[in-house]
Amino acid sequence: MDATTPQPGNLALATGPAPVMLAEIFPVSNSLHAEIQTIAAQNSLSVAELTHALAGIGSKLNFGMPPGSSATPAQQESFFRALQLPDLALAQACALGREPAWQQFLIRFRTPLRQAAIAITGSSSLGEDLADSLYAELYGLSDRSGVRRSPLASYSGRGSLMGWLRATLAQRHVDHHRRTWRESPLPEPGTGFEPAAAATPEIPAELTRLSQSLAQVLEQLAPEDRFLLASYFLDQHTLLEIARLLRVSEATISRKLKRLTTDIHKQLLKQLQASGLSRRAAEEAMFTDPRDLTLNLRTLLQTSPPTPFPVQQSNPAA
Amino acid sequence: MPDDLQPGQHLSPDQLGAFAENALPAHERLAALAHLSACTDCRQAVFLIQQSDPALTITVPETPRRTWFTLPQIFAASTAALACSLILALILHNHHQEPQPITTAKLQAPIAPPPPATTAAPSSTAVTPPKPEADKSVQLTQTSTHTHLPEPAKLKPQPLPEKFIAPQPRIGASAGISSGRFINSAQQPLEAKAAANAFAAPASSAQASSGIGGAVPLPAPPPPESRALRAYAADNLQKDLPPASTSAALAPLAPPGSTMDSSAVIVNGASIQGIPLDANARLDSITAAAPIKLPSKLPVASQLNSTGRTLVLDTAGSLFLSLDHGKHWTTVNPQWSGKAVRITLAAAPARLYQVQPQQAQTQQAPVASATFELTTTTGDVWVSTDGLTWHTRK
Repeated sequence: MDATTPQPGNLALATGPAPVMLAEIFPVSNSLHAEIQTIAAQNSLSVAELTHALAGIGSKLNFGMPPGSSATPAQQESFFRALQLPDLALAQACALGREPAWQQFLIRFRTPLRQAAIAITGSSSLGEDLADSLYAELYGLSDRSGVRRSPLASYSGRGSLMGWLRATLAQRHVDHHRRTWRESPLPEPGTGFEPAAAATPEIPAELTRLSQSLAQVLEQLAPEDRFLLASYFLDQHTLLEIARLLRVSEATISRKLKRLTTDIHKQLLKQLQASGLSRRAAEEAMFTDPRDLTLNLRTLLQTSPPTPFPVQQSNPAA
Repeated sequence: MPDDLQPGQHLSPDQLGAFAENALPAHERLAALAHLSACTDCRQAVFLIQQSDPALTITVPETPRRTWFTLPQIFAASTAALACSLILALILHNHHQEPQPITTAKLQAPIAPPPPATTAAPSSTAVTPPKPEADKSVQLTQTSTHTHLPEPAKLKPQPLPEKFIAPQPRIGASAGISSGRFINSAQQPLEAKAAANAFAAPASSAQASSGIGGAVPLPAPPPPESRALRAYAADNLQKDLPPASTSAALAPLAPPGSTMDSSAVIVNGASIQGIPLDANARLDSITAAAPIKLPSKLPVASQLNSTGRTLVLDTAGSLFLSLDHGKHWTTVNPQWSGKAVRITLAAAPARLYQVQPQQAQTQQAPVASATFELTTTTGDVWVSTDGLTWHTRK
């Protein structure tokens, strides 16, 4: 464990162990400084190390302010106070390879991490494998230059450290699926799985117009509306799952979806009429079978590569 | 950020974890949503985070939607309505119970010869029966003037206001008639009323003996309740008057030719004592608010105004007469013994029905002369027709 090794996001380690007070970098109150001292001492960190870590996080995230705006000293202090300082100090200490911090980390997160991995994978064995693989990764791997890099150093302290660990587990699980879903066996010959015909039929003008109008309408949606549509119609998550994630009630999500589909219907009618169709023709176009459309709503709503989950492969023309 | 998740394209674990815990600032949350709406991997990752976190699986309690009719609302509304009803009922109840100043009250009663007993002290609890003279006069009147009698409909007594009936048990009890009897008798036909009380018994017998019967309902003598009412009005009306009242006026509404004693009592408050209601006894405005300047410089103890004559009794017992509505006063020599304490007006009831043949032909109203009565401290009653000459009532 080399505490003087420069670490990304750790200004103290990058600039040396010079004792720098946070108040010298950012104006913070004495109470916050005393809290930083206490937390640093509890996690085998020097005040300078934790101070430089906080300074790096504040600068990176612009103290929680939108890009282009500068935070006032009060906003800076409120940003620091909103951070999970004990978790941040523990993560920084673990990233620096402090043994007491790792012991504390294992005491605190071994069991929850295992449970979270099992919950994510849906399997006990897969969960334990996922959790065990994460420990090694969290400790850090040395790069070509011999510098050990721990992903714990990227923890900013805005959420809990356990949340960060869950997110890491989830990403690892998604990455694992992405790599393994292509390994499914090919169907037997003659079972009906035939490659699509190369020749595509001629698309009627009305369908082309409808596809263009729908694309325009979906592009104008707000990010949250697009997230709702994608989560409900593409990923087929339940209203309850979406409501829990967005921390609103299930009925609120239901109302939003209903209003959203109604608005999309109206806007689509307007778009079709604006494109030259009469109202009656536009209404008739709304009854077009979606399977006749070459429009891929998934590509409209998302730009990510093909989904790794089987549930996302259904109804590609939806 | 792990290399597997294509740094720069996906949300970092720090962002995902903070988003799942709702710890991102607004602008960064919008950016995360925009990315999540387009990135299936991150969307799946964030749902996996939520799935693995037992704290995030707590269902957000749905905000109860407002319902229009809930039990507490119905209870509150009904309670408020009940309270309003009770308050209104109390107000109306108090409004009925409090002694209001009498503004207009029609006292209609059949004209009957008020026996001299009615002119007795109203405070007396016993109403003396009419004298035989009055009965004779009634008989004469009924036999001679039945063609000029008013229509039976006019003779029907109107229901009296309760203010004049309800507080009557003292008189009613003395006459053997309850207060409820007053109300009932006031609504009964005259014949029934006459037969129902002792005072009307002579009239009923006279009616039967004269052969008129019920074919032509003759004006019966005033029922005892009517006389009692008059006595009460004369005696106790002053008690019921509010102190703020300033004037009183009694004016008969019936035409002079009418045999009905219809007197509109307009009382705004004054000292009204012993004013029998009589058709021909037109009591002009007695205004207490306008002080009467007597030659004795004493305050007025009792006064009445009839047929242009105004008699005023001061507190010393001196009687004054005015023929020009109080402009000039004449001191009446005391022809009585003792101190005069009260003057009242009593008309000879028998004369009210004595219609002369000439008057009957010309359809003129009978003229009845008013009789003033003066009561002394000894209880003697002196009568006079002109206010100057007084005789002891026999």
